[in-house]
Amino acid sequence: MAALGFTLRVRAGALLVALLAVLSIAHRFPEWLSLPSPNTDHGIQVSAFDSQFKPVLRDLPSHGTVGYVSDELTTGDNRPSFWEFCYIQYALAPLIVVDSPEYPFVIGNFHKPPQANRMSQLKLTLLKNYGNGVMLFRGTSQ
Amino acid sequence: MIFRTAGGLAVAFVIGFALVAAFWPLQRQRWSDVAVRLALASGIGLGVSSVSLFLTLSVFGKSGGLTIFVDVVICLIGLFAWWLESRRSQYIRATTSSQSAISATKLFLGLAFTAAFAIATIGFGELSALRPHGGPDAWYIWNLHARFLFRGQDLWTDMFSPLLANYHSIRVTGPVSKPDYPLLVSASIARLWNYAGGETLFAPALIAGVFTFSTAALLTSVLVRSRSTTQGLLAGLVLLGTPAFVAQGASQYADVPLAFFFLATLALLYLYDCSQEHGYLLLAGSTAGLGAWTKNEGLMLLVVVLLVRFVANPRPLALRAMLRRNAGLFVGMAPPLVTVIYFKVRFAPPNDMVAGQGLHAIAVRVVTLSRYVTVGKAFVSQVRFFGDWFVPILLVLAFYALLVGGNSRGGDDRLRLSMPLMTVLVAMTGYFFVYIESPHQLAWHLGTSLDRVLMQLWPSALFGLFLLLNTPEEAMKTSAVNGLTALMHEVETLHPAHH
Repeated sequence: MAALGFTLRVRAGALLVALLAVLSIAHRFPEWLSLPSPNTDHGIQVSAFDSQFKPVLRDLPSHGTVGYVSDELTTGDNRPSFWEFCYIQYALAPLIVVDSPEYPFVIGNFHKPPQANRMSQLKLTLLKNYGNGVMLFRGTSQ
Repeated sequence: MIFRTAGGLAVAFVIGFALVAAFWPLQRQRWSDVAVRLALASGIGLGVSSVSLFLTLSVFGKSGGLTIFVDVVICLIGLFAWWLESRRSQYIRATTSSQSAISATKLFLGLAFTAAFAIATIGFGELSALRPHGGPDAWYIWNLHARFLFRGQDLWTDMFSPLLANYHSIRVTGPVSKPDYPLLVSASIARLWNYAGGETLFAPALIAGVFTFSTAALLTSVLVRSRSTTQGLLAGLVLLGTPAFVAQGASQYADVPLAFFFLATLALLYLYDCSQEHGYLLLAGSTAGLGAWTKNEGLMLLVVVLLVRFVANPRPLALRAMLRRNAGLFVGMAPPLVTVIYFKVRFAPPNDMVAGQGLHAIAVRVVTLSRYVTVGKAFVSQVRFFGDWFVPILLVLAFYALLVGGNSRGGDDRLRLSMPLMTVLVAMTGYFFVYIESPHQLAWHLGTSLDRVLMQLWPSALFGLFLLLNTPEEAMKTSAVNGLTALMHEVETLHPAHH
């Protein structure tokens, strides 16, 4: 009798582990189907930047280094948005994007129209405006 | 483009299958043998062809058609080796199955496995469609490097430019593009783009899918072969039921490919220890080497595998005898390992975990008690939340282990069975000390990597655990024998006169 009870318990244990495994993967499934916020999800943002910067890539040399400017920040931190910079680097590879206006070609990534006097201070001449705040400038070499 | 990408994968599969078949002992063919070989083929094929792309690119400065030509040559060599081996070996078809009857338990587990596999596959597809570039590490490390390899051609080495790393070094995290990371995943993606004739987001997702589901297939099939069908299905179910495993796979991170190679190494070493067939040892060496070609952690896992193998030996042998006995392992790991060394010495900048680390700074970190508390707490929290399960899976498995018990075989058998789990535990200890020594901000480092690092070990941990535990059939048989013994004892007590 005891052996029979134990056999049942072993069988039940194996089936329980199996059932929990199916439930575990199933309970995450609806979450995977739901769309995350496009503004915060890196996976969605990187796709958007990749498409947006494809035309820029065609106007740049196939290798080398290009500069980068973004919105002027009012805080003490003058670094551009870290993630946006990464998206653009990814989109423009194998070009190397450097956070500096001192290159012959400079990528502009703006969320509001850049002020003309700032651009002239940085010695940047607009070559092409691709829309949505994406611009290509001629800059000064290092 | 999709068909051409799939064609590139098919060529890698043929390369892998031919190489595995060439070294696989053919004396006893069972369906589970074929399943293990199929599960190994794609990963090994992708690994070998990624090495060929890297070498082609670094020697000739171009890939494209040349890569395809080199692939075809490797493919033919592999097929020729397989043909030679199959002529030499004697096929002995498996005799009729002794387990022809399908028990209700087996049927239920089979159905549950099918359900978990279906949900995992659809979930993987959904996640890949939603984020075709993968998670942040995927697009900023592996896919970025793939772009340098594919778009850069002769100037692919621009990916090592200090300018690329400089911007990111202003963060506490150091360069996020990790230019020192080996190239198995990136070169595999670039290779499929060569076949496709252009970039397609299908390629990285396909590679991620191959590694994710090959790992599950390998775990299941190798346990079916070594233990029992129910044991294989149970382990496969636990892996496929781990949401984080599927999600990390779909994120296109290299942790799942590394998990595949680590599992393959431990499984092949176990098969070698059981049979003494040197083919397994050669293949184990090559998968260990390909693990090192996947991620830097692969080098540490390789060292751990060797360490456990050399230290945990039932009959202590002289070092020379041990080296001779494991010669096949070293021969197998030599080609990928030489590639890794060439990559590290010739191209890669120093790793951010070791660059500029003075002995004094390391010593200070090692003796700081609070670091042990922080890292220990993070490890313990994984016991509760590991794998994104809705129940603490490690506790569930502990309960199940108490129920079925450990395998009671003794001596060499016991050591063989416990070696994989022992290796995983040593690897985990190694990771613990990597965090203790980490030059990065500890909370950040643990928060962004511990779950992924442990996922590298998870399939191997399941392999080690289910190898060591009784199968449900064994547990039931043991209980029946114990029950019978108890009954006989009772009868003897009630009727002593009969004796």
